[in-house]
This record gives sequence, C-alpha cells and structure tokens, in this order.
Amino acid sequence: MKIPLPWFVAIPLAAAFVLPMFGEKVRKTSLAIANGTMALLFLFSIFSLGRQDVYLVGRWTIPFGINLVLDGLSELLLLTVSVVSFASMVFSIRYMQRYTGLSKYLSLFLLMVTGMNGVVLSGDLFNLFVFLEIASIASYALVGFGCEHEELEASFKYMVLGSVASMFILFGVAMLYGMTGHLNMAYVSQALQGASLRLPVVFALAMFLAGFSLKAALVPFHAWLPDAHPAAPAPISAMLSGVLIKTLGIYALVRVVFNVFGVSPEQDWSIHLSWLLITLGVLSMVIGVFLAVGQWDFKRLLAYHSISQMGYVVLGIGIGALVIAQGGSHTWAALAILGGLFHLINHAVFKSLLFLTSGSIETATGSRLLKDLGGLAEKLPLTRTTCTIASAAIAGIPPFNGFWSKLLIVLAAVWAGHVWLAAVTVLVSLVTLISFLKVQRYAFLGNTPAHLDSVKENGGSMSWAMGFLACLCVLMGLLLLIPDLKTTILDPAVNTVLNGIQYAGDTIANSR
Amino acid sequence: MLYALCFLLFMIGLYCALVKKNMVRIVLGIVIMEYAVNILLIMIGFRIGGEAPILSPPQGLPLKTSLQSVDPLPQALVLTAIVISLGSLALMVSICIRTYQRYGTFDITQIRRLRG
Amino acid sequence: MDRILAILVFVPLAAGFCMLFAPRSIRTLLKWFALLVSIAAFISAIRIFAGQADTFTLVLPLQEFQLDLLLAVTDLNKFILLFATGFGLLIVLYSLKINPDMKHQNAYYGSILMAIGGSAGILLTNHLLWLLIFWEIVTASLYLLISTGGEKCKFAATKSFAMIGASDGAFLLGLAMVWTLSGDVNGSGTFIISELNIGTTSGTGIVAFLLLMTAAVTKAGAMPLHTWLPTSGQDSHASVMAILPAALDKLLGIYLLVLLVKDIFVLQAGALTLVLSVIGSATILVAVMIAMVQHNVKKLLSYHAISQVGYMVLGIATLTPVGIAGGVFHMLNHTIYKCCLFLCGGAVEKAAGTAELEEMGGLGNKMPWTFVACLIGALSISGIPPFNGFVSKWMVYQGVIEMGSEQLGGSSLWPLWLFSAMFGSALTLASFVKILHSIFLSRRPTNMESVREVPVTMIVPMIVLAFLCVLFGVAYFIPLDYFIYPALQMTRSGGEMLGIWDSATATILLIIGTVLGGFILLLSMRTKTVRSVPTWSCGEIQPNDQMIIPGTHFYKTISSLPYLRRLYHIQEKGWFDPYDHGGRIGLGVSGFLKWLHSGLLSTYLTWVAVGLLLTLGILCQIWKG
Repeated sequence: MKIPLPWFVAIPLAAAFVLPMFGEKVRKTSLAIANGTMALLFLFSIFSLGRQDVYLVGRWTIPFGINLVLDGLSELLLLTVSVVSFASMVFSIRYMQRYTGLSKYLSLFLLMVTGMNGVVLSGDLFNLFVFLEIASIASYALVGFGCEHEELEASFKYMVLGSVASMFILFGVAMLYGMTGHLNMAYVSQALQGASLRLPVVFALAMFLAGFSLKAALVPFHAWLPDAHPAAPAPISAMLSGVLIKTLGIYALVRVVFNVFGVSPEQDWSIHLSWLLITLGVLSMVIGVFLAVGQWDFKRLLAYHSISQMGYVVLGIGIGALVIAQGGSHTWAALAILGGLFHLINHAVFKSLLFLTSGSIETATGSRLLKDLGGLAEKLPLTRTTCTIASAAIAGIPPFNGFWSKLLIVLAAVWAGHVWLAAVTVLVSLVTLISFLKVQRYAFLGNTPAHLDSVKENGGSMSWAMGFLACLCVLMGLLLLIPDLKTTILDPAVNTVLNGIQYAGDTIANSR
Repeated sequence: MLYALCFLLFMIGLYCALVKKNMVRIVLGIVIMEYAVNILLIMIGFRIGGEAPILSPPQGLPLKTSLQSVDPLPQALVLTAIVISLGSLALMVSICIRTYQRYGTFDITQIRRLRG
Repeated sequence: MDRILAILVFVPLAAGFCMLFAPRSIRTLLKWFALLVSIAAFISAIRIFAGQADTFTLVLPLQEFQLDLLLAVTDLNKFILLFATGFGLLIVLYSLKINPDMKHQNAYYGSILMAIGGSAGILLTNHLLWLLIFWEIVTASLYLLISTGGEKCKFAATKSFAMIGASDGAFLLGLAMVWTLSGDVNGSGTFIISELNIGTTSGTGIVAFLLLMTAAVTKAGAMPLHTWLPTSGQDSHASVMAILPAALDKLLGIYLLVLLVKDIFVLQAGALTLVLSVIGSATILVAVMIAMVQHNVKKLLSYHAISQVGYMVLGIATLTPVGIAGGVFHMLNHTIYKCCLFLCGGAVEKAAGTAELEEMGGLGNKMPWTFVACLIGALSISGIPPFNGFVSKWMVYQGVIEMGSEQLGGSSLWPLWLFSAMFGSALTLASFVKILHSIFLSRRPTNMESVREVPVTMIVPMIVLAFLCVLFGVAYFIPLDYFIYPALQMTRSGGEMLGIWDSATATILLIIGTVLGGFILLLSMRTKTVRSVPTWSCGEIQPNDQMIIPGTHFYKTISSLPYLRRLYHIQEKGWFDPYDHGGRIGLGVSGFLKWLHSGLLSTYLTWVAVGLLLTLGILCQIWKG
C-alpha cells in the first residue's frame, strides 16, 4: 500500500481542527477520534517503511513547487514519532481525567504531531521552518497547560528561548536563499557544492547550528528544557523529551548539516563542524548527567537526562562526521552514525516510558519528589517493573536497547582513535546508572511510608501504554541483531546520512 | 553590508530580550528580532529599479517581467513569517498576562521558582 | 554442537526473568520451581563436566562484530561451572525455610536463577562481548538480590550496583580497546577469546589490561573497589552474601583474571605483575586488620571475603605454574568455606535473631551442627592443616617463593608479599577465634536459652560444604588432579609441587593428637572434681551468668595502638571508601552546576548568545587554516 505523503500532515491537522468543535461534553468521542488518528498514523508509518518517495504538492515541479521527501532518515523519525505519540495518546485517556480542557489538549497534541511529521517530511527549508513553528507553538501552549505558577514560568522561558531559536533558523534560511536563490534543500545543496566558500554561507551554517541545538537542548543552549519538560502533563513530557527535541533538533540538524551543507573531505568546514558536534555532544552528556544526579524532582531528573542522552546521539553522529571528514573508512563512520541514530530511537522509547511512569507515580501518590516517595515496589508493581526496565535501558544494562547503542558509540569512538571520548561516554553512563539507582532507592525500595499506604496502581490505558513501551525496550535490541529489521529500519537512515549530498541528486531524480 | 545591518538589528533585539527585566519588553525584543529577519528577507528580494512582480497581459511576457521585477518569493515568505510570528506573539502575550495574574509582577527576575 | 550448553545458560536466565514478573498468587510455587531449575542446572553441569569438550554456536548476523554466540567447554570452565551450579543448588535449598514470609520471593528466587544462568554464560562463552553481557546480568541480579532485604538494604544495593557498575564500565572500555588492538587498520577486530593474544608492551595494551583487571578484581572483591562488600554484607541476607559475593562473584572474577593473564593478554613479569602483587598483598593484610575489630558476624565475614581474594590475586600475579594453580585452587576452596561460613552466620542470625557478636554466646550446645560446620570453615579459612585452605595457601606461598627465586618481576619484593600473606593468615585465625568464642563458646546470655538448631534444609548445605572442606584438604590431590591441573594444562609433578607436605601422615598425626587430647580431658574430668563457685569481686559476690567475657574485645588493644587507632578511626568514617569520595565529588560538581542554573532568563539567553558567537568563531577558523 502506498500512502500519499501529505496524509501524514493532513490527517492530524484535520483532526486537530475537528476536535475543538466537540467541546467538553463528549470526552469519549474526542478521545476516540484522537486515538484513532494516532493509530492510523502508526499503521501508515509502518507501511511506509523501505520507500523512497517524493511528493510534489500541487504537481508543481521543484524547485518551483513545494515537495515532501520520504527517505530512510524520514522513515525512521516518522516511525519513532508515531510510536511515541501513539503510546502517549493512549496514556492520556486515563491520565487526562483530572484535567479540564480535554479537547484543547487533544487538539494541541495533534497539532504538535502535525508539525513534527511536517518537519520530517519537508523537502524545503522554509516549510521546515513553518512546520517547526507549528510544533513549537503547540508545545509552548502545552507546557503551560496547567496554568499554575511553575507551568506559566516554564512556558514563558521556553517560549522566549524557542522563539530566539526559530529566529536563528529563519535568519539562516534567509541567508541561504540570498546566497543560492533556492529554498528547496536539494537545489540549495547543489548550489552550495559548486560555489566558492563565502562568509554568509558559513554564517548561515552557524545560525542553523545554534538554532537547531537550541531546539535539541544541547549545552549551552539547554536551559529551557529542565523547566519546560517537567512542567507539562506527563504524556506531553514524554512527547517533548521523546520526540520533539529529536525531530526539531537532531533530525533537522542532521538533515541540514549532512544533506544540505555536506560533510566530506573536500568541504572546508567538515573538520570544524565535526569537532563542533563532538564538543556539543560531550558538553551535553557530561553537564546534563551531573545536573541530573543531584535532582530530587523525578521529572526534572529525567529532563536533565534528556540533555545528556541527546549528547550521546550528537556525539555518535559527530564521530561519524569526523571519520568522513578525515577521509576514513565509511564502515566505521557508518558504525558511529548507526550508534547515534539507534540511540536516538532508543532514547525516544525509554525516555517517554520513564516520563509516563513518572506520570503514573504522580497520579497515584500526588507527588513527584523522590524524598516523599518510598516502597512503591509493592504498591505499584507494574509501574515499578516498567520503570526498572526503562532505567536499565537508559543506564545501558544489557540486554536492553540502550546497551547496544552505547556499545556502538563506544566502539566507534575507540576505533576513531579517541579513547578519551569513549571514556567520557562510559563515565556518563555510570553516572546515569547511579542517578537511576537513586530513583529506584527512593521511590521503589524499602518500606512504604504511612501516607502512601492507600496508593493503588492506576490501571487502564496507562498500564497498556507503559507495558507497550516496556516491551519495545526489551525487544529493540533485536533491531540491531535481526538483519531484516536492521536493513529495513536502521540501514536506510544511516545511508541517508552517510551519503550526504547525494540526497540532492536522489531527490531530484525521484521528482521526475 | 545590508546583511550586517540586519544582523545588527537582530542582535539589538536579542540584547533587548537579554537585559530587560520586564516580560513585555522581552517579548518586544523578540518581535524586533523577527522584524530584522523579515527585513533581511525583503532586502534579499529587492532589486534597484525593479517593478512590482505583478503579471498582467498588457505589460508583456512573463520572462521579461521576471528579469525586471523584484523577487516575489521572499515577500510570500515574509507574509507567512508574519502570520507565524503573530501566532507566537499572541501566545506569548497571553502567557504574560496569565503570569502576571499568578505572580503579580512582570519582573522576570522575580519569576524564578524553577532553578537548579 | 551441543544444545545442553545453551540450555544451561538460557533456561535459568529465562526462568529467572519470568519469575521476576510472576503474579503474587503463585509465589509459594516459585521456590519449588526454582529448586527444580537449579537441580536441572546442576545435573547438566555434571553432564558437561563428564562429557566431551563441546561447542555451541548461535549465528547472529551482525557482520561488523561477528556477534555470534559461541559457547565452548574448556577444562578451565567446566569445573568452575560444576561448582557454580552446585552452589546455586545448595543456596536454593538453604533458602527454602529461611524466609517463608518474605515479600519479595519472586525477585529473590528469580535473581538467584538469573545469577546461575548468567554465571554459566560467563563461564561458557568464548566471546568477550557476550561475556560482558552475562557479566552485567550477574551484577544486576546481585542488585535485585540485595534489594530484597527491605528497608536497610536500600543503600547497600545502590552502593554495590554503583561500584560494580563502575568496574563494568571499565570492562566495556577495555573491551573496546581490546577489539581495536586485535584488528589492523582496515579490518575489524575480534571478540573471540581464544583468538586474542594481545601484547602488554604498548601503552594501549597496558591500559586495556588494567581496565579489564579492574573489572575482574572488583567483582571478586579485592581492593581498592571493595567497599560494596562489607556494606552489603552487613545489611543483606546471609544467603545472598553466600551465593553471590562469597561464591559466584569470586569464581567469576578470578576466572576472568585467569583468562586475562593466560588467554587474552601476553603478560610479562614486570610492572603489571607488580601492580597485581601489590593489590593482592595489600588486600590480604588491610582487610584482615579491619575484619578483626568488627562486631557484626556478617560484616566480619565480608571483610574476610575481601582478604582471601588477595591470596588468589597474589597467586596469579606470581605467573609461576604453582602460584596460578594455587590461586585457582584457593578460589575454589574459598568459595566452599566462605559459602559455608556465611550460611552458618545466616543460621545463627535466624536462630538467635541477631548478627551482633556482643549479644550472642554459648550457642555451641544449642546448635551443634552449625557449630561443627562453622568450626571447620573457620579452620579452613585460617589455613590450618589438614583443611583445604591450608593446601592452597601453601601453594600460593610456594608460588611467591618461586617467583623470588626465579628472579621474575617484582622479585626483589617477594619477601614482602610472603610476609603479608602469612601474617594475614595468622590474623585470620585470630579473628575467627573471636567469632567462635563469641557465638558458640562464651557464656550464654539468658535471652538465648530458647535458641534451637535450624531446620534440616539449612543444615544439609552447611554440612556438605564442611565435608568438602575436609575432603579437599585431606585428599587434596583429588581436586588438583581432576580440576585444577587439567584446567591449567599442567601435570602433577610429584612432591616438588607441594614441598614436603604429606597430608595423609599429617592427618593421622593430627587425629591421634586430638584423640589423645580428648582422652586426657576425659581422664582429668573423671579424676578431678571441679568445684563451681560464684565469682568474688571487690568483696561482693557476682552471679556467674552475668560474668560474660565477650569476644568482641579480644583485639581492642590493636585498634587502640597509637597510629593504628587513627587509621581505624578514619576508616570507620569512610575515608578510604571510593564510593563516598566519588559521591562527594559528583555532588559537588552537581551543586555547582545547579547554582549556575539560577532561573534567570537573562543568564540563559547569555549562554545562547555566547554559544552562537563561539559557533560562528569556530566555523570562521576555516579561513585561518
């Protein structure tokens, strides 16, 4: 079955506009519509695996028209977005019972999904910006959804920093348009390869780097994330940490850096760019994890871990870029990039699961401060199990998924001759382990304090969503180990990144 | 040179958002940044002595017109960007109002419950 | 290709993993199921031991690393496997009665099975990456096991996992380096242990060896990353300590060390053996000094578990055949007697309701079986002939002497190693005198009158282990001929190996001496009546049952010696604990970073602006070059 690409954008967009019409009265119907939409998108993204496609909007040929491009990297992100948003949406059924304004919530949720799908599929820079803004504005509103002190404060700070990032990106887009006369990524890329190196192009590259790093919350552009992610309702935190920072940040960064600007031994900026990526990655990893280990608010701890784990992804990709830039073997570059991208999807799964468990704990006990909790292993067995699995995955304990991606990154770093990078990776992994041992110790182990005696498992859709993601955590190691899965899901994405500026030629050829 | 001036305006907006304590002024700083980018886009499309890019049958062939006229694409982009910034501006201002209701102040240095 | 290998590894793992999630309603069934699985594991281990050298390959198509699961039986791993599964079986048997009301029964039995399966995996696999995977599974099961102990084990579980996790990180790093070292510039390296042969002359080789060695000795419990062991020993169930830190972790850690020294690396005597020797002898001496002044049975035993690792490390560090054989044999003996001692400690704790030495006394006639087992275990660990600990320590001494005489690395310091090993042995005896006295011999406090011997399912494992202690000591040639020498590809070369020790004559002499002593005792009791009177002190009569000489004060004089007192004091405060220091540094860094995140928007925007300008600046370096 060949799914038309605009459906990925149009279906959630339409649902987002239909839902507010129902109002507050028919919660069940609106939940059913929203969940049905997400399930549909989930199916579509599975059916779209292994496809190379370009859709010309209004049949205008590029570079005159707008195009949507589906390639390996897009497929991977599309699948990730739909898995995580499906789980979060299912989780919301039960979780949102205590909130009012359900239809607004669902509408914003779907708008966010629209934006993310659009970013992933967009074939030109300006539409990338537009979809990025759609997703961002929806997320600003969702962060402030509770309308309490912390939520509003977080939302404002997030919005200011996010708007600055958007302006950086738009500035970069404008510069590139001024230099090349194109907005279509394929044509921009071709124009850049021929031209001599000029300051505005480098300037645009810096703007893109800063802007996308802000969206991806890489140190030193990270300060909004620990405020914004805990403030949102738990399923939204799962979406923000699970996929939003990845699609708006990492995906866009990788797309622009590798496919538009290009990394190769011939490009002058390659080495500098690689080292920049590695530096951003290492800074994020180390600073994020040390901030996380000192936290007592469970969600804030998780939020800092998101920064740290994004560091892993960028580090893996940066090492890959460095190997390519130094003219090294493509096998090893592929290994590093595979590590980075695999960690990206792994992180999407286990971090969203962790945020969902935090929501489950918060709903059950009314607190998310670790010092208030204790002995929940007996009271919330399912939450405990899923949280333990996700913690083991993020800490890199075999055989869960996080282990494999970290292993690949460590191997790639050592092979690239940077043992110290591997050592930093291992150290950060250890501190991650310690901080999750802290979570286990204070939340789950020991005796239950008196005020938590009546706590019960939430059950219902929340259990299903957590169980689904926990199963994925256990099984995702197979993505690497089973060759068919690897060649259909991971390898195309790696090849897209690895082949870099061949993207332009492929896209133009597919458009004909 | 023009790019540099736009960048200067951009940085002025960033500076405004950075040093001002009042939330509304921070929002205005961001608006200045948006304007800077919009002006940049318009100037990229500008051509000295160019005409309005409107095609009407009596004035000649499309090809000829496109050589003489200013680039219409950035104008479309700017329109879109303005609409987007309008949306985010509205949201920002409403969050400002809500925050004022909660905290009783617009001073961003007073609004720092989230730290560490 | 034999499936039994895969079954032995994966059946306990899968069973254990499923048991973790078992519903509460079938919890009572779980222990019988666990017993069944562990019996099956033991039987398959016997079959593997008796059978031919088999291999099992599960081909996984990940071309970059050849990640096929290779299981292979070698002479070294098959006897360790036999003992590992045997210990698992004994512990499951022992646990059946100990905690019938335990809340976390599914986690307890599940993780024991996972530990058995994981250990089988570590021992059988011929692939370094799989070894790491199983290795971490065992670590995780230790964490789960300790955390079944309830409130007071929270900290112990966290600390153990954090410290062993640190060494596992070192393992991962070392493994990656081994992988690169074993390949050439273009080709990929290999993880297959039997194909590895890495020199330790290059810097990378040395670092890789040290990293992997850290993992091995930390798992085994040697210094300096040893402090998880006493902490968890104090708080968790004795059966938990008996299976993992005392038995399986020792087997696995020393197994990995032997692999490193013999298979993976090519080790020359020199700096690296010096490092190992220093670790070994420091561990022996320091841990036993700390052990002497402990008041808690399980904590004391934990420090001895650390101390004894020193002998194994030292034996292997000698690089002489007799030394390595002695180290491996000591590993085997140690697991037997230390497991036995922990089980005795657990039995005493269950019967008396406390693990503090001050509160116990005179339990010898109440718990005769436990007393006998504990006595044999104590004599073995102290290296008293004719028990097994003596033989292996003797071999380690010989190895050290041989290292000195052959002028191998660290040769000039060999008297130092020998001294610490022998002196440590003496101190071990001293501290076990204290234990035996405090628990079993001194006057019984009145509240201990109702103590009863533990059930038979707990006695059987203790007696079996105590019997093995005697057997391996008197008939030491049995384990050496069947297990140790084939494993290390050595042949028994007569008396030269063991000096002038002849166990048969000595045992007969010892038995004659004991019988003679008993005869004299009997005679004196017959001929001379002993008059028992109240104690007379300072003009007042004291009732006898208040006059208890607690064993805990035996060595107080040592801890109050001028310099040692200070050392003991700061040791108690955790000054030598890497976990505490690491925690302090980490929290310091964390506190500083948290202080930076002040909640001020302008600060955050400044970071963004600076970040943008730095990015721009770095990219503009293009024109410089």
